[in-house]
Amino acid sequence: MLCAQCGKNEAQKYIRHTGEGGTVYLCPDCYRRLYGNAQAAASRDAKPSLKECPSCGTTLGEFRKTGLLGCADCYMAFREELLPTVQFIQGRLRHTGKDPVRTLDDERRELEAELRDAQKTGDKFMEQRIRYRLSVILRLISGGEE
Amino acid sequence: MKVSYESVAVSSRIRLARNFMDYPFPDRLLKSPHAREQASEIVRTINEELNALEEFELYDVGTLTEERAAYLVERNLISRDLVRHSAISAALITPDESISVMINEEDHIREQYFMRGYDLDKAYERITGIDDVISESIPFAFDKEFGYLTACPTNLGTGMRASVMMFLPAVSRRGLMKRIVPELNRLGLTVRGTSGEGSGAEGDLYQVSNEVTLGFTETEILAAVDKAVKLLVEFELRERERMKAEEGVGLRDRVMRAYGILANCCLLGMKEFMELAADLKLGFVLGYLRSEKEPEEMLSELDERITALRPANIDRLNGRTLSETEQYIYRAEQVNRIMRRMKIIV
Repeated sequence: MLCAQCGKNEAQKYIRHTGEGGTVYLCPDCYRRLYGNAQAAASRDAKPSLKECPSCGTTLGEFRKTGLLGCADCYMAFREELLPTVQFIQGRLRHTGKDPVRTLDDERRELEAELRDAQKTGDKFMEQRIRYRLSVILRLISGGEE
Repeated sequence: MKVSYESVAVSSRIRLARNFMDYPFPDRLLKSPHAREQASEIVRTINEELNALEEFELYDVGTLTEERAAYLVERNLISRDLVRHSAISAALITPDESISVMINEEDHIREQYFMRGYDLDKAYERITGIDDVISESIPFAFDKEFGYLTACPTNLGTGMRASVMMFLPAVSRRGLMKRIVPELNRLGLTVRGTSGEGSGAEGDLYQVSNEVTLGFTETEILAAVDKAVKLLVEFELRERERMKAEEGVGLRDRVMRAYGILANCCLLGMKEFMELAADLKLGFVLGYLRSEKEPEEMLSELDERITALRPANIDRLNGRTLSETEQYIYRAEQVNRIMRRMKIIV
């Protein structure tokens, strides 16, 4: 199928959940031109793409280029910028499916106990590692409830 | 003649994408100086959990020969992306090849269940059971809003892709796919040719799957795919009857020619094999060809043969790398033999 805008290039299908919604058949160039600009401009103005995930070092610019996040913590670091992207791709913003058997609270409780043990035995390396994991969990727990 | 759903919906596959909370996602992990150690921790943990549950064979992709990796890719047990990550990736596969857990592909864990025939509920039940076992000991990356966190936001939420392989010779040859695709898109589903994204359809096979993964329960997603599959099955069956009535002898001629070639050829390439096999399958479902078995069983058997006669599979059966001509000869001989064994009645 040809692009509905330029009529020259091969079209791809894009589902739009925002704005007027529906499915559009455009080539990637026309798509970016018609719909990509507003979003890209908004994020350019708000923050430079140098914003970086504190856990893995992935930058917002890298995500924009590859479409891939670097770790779970990126979802916290770039949450604000990700919301419109997720809304665009998925159309909805709240998970309603199944939860993991082992919850983040289970994990937090266990890590807190491990942290106490590490402090007792004076294992600094272990303590540092547990603290890091705890910080990620606490961010994940609070991130989901914002 | 009995024609069931399974002459259209030929196989079902469900995959769940999961990640560890505290390791970088695989593409990022690759860049880490500790990639190897972290990857082997991930592999070891999942291997221990799964093998405590049932028998899984562990494949360390980094140590697989290129031929062996190609063999597993052809059988859809691992993906090309997994091979691309060979420095950190592995796969756990059950002996019957129904469950494959890819480790460090795009996400840390891609659990998938595959079955011949159409039964998404069974497929989901099986894979969610495996998922629960892994989830008991591994804290998955998860938040209440985005659900399971995945490397790409297209898999957030349930992390689930439910796909059904559909044999649509009538709909596709009558040029009706372009009418259906937008309809399915509207229902939140995508249709792809069998070789993945952007590909044409080899052998009239199409994969129908959910596009959206967040904001719906697993049951709702399965129901949406099921609805689409049922519509497509009915549409295809109707078009098969129309095709038979309208094209008559021309269509029968095509089926018989395909049978003639497959039974007697001396050289056979993969592409030609796929096309002729699709004609032959059409012959079974339209009743032009019969054998002792039901048409659906013939389709399933042919699909298995097609996989087994792909290049890397042939090399593995022969225990060495064959030249292209040798491959063509071997494939033709095997297909001649299969045609005789099927005892086809025209």
